[in-house]
Amino acid sequence: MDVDFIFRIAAIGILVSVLNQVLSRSGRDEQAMMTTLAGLVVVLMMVVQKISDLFNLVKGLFGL
Amino acid sequence: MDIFKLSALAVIAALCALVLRKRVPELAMALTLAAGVLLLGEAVDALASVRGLADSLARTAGLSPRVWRPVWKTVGIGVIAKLASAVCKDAGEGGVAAFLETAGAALALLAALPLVEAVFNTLSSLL
Repeated sequence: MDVDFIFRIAAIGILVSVLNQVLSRSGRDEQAMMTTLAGLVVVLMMVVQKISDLFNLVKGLFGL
Repeated sequence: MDIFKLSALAVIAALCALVLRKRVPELAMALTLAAGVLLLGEAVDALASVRGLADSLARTAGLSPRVWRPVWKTVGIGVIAKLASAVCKDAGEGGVAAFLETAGAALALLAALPLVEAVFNTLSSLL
């Protein structure tokens, strides 16, 4: 599961960058910006979930 | 998970981050963050068994958990603060990283306070 997670984020990143190019080429720069933000939010939602799991694990381990 | 798989994961993540770096820098940092979280997850699993052994050793040595727990807490604070500041430096925010390291040091000192107190009590009871 681990490497898939990395590849999933990379895929989203590449998709967002392609959409960015297409939108900015056709003159819709603000929509390109919105696409980047949307991609970032999606990726962050996935990463934040992983981070909270990890922090609970660390909290249990180190007794923080 | 052995070290080969972890290093392979790290190298792949670095490569993917490089691909994203030029076009969408924010996602590149999110990707390095995700890779770091995965690697740290494996390290924490390994550390859990070390923690079990350390606790049993401390119990047989007669050390009260009150003395032993601050040590673990300080180690935890140190590890998390160092990793988080490294990620901040990666994103180019050296200032934020420095602030975080200072705060981490202060919190580690706070966590070590009861340890000093416990040692002082045992010393005074000996004298």
